[in-house]
Amino acid sequence: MEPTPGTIRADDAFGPFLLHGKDLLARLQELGGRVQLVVPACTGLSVSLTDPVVTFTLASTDTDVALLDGVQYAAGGPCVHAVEVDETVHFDVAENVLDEGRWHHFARAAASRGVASTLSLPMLDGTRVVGVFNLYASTPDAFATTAAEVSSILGTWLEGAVLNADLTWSTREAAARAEATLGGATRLAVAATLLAGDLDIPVAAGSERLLDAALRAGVSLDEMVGCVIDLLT
Amino acid sequence: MSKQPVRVAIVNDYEIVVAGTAAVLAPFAERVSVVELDSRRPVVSDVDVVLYDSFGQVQGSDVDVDALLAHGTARVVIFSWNTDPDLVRRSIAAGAGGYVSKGVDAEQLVDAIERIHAGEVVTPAGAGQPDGDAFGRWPGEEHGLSARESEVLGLICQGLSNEEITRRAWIGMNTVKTHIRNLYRKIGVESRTQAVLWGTEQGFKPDRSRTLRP
Repeated sequence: MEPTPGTIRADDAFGPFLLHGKDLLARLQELGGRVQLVVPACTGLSVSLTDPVVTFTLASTDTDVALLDGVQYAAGGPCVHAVEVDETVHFDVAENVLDEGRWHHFARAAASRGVASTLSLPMLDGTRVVGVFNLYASTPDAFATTAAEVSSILGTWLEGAVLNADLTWSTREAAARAEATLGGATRLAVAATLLAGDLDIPVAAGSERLLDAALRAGVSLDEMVGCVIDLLT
Repeated sequence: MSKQPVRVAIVNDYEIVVAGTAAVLAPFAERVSVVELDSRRPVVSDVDVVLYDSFGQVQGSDVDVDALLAHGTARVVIFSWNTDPDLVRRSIAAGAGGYVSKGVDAEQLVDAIERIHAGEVVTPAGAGQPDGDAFGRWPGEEHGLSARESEVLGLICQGLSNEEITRRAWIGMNTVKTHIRNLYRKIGVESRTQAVLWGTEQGFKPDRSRTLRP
């Protein structure tokens, strides 16, 4: 699985991110590969973090899809359905990994083929939820008997697992907005810390004041943040 | 009659940086006299040379040489790790009187300041980037940050994207990301917003000050 174009853009603009000291995207690709060994039909993985609030998504490339199909044929089971349907989807493969068209075709095909099952697993830091993994598979019930093993691979909280919560793969859209989301979050952090230092208040209080000021003034939070940064730097 | 020392002002957004450079020049007071330190304030003293430390600053043709001085005709000297020939050319074209690499030692810096004051346009001898963090001080030094890592963190704390950091620091994207990865590990954070919070608490917010010395 590879990072989607939106995830690549976000990482280029405001990355890298670390996860337990390791590069987050590299770690996600490693974990995705291990999950696919257990769930060959897994074609997508997203992680939505709470700090910062951002989503990163990996999805299978056209080559990966073909290989996964091959595995299914070799392993039996779903291959029976595939043979009966005799359905083949051809992609116009582009060289550029950032070619949105390539991913659009895949996403449309995935949607038409059906993201047939999903698994959501919360990430905990102690008792605090720090993010959620969402996994997507092209066959129904792909995670029904594998959730425990997948949770073990990802280091998540199995008891919080939810099946089929995101059959529309909504995290794709969230990942596409990641660059803008991270830009806003970074500027907000800068403005909040500047304001907190100026007023000698906690940073969280600084964030709240910015939000409150934007609401009262009838401007966007981003506009208020920009104004404060200009004033205090 | 003994030669008068060259009167110098040092400018940079970070007080620790200007103070560190001033401390390095202090033993050479009979040759260069640091009379003013400025962080985001124009130089007001009657000086011969303004030493513009490029740590975290705009560079090249983006340097507003005129804005550095409230008045007077001091020669502006760019003091930087970045010795890219194109950057040096742009800086001289923008009005800088000279460009000195941070790879020099204190004596060499003093010598360059004297030569620039005398009217010579001094530029780095070679195109190679100086390595090591030998000169002066920078925020985060006590936490093991290199000068370049500190500079990148400072720019992160100003809200710059990676692309903006490559242009400000005159380094490539992969280099920016490597610095970010390394500094995150050193300061114990895993995201940009966490880095902003840490950096601001540790003095990476640009200062606004002026120190006058007799």
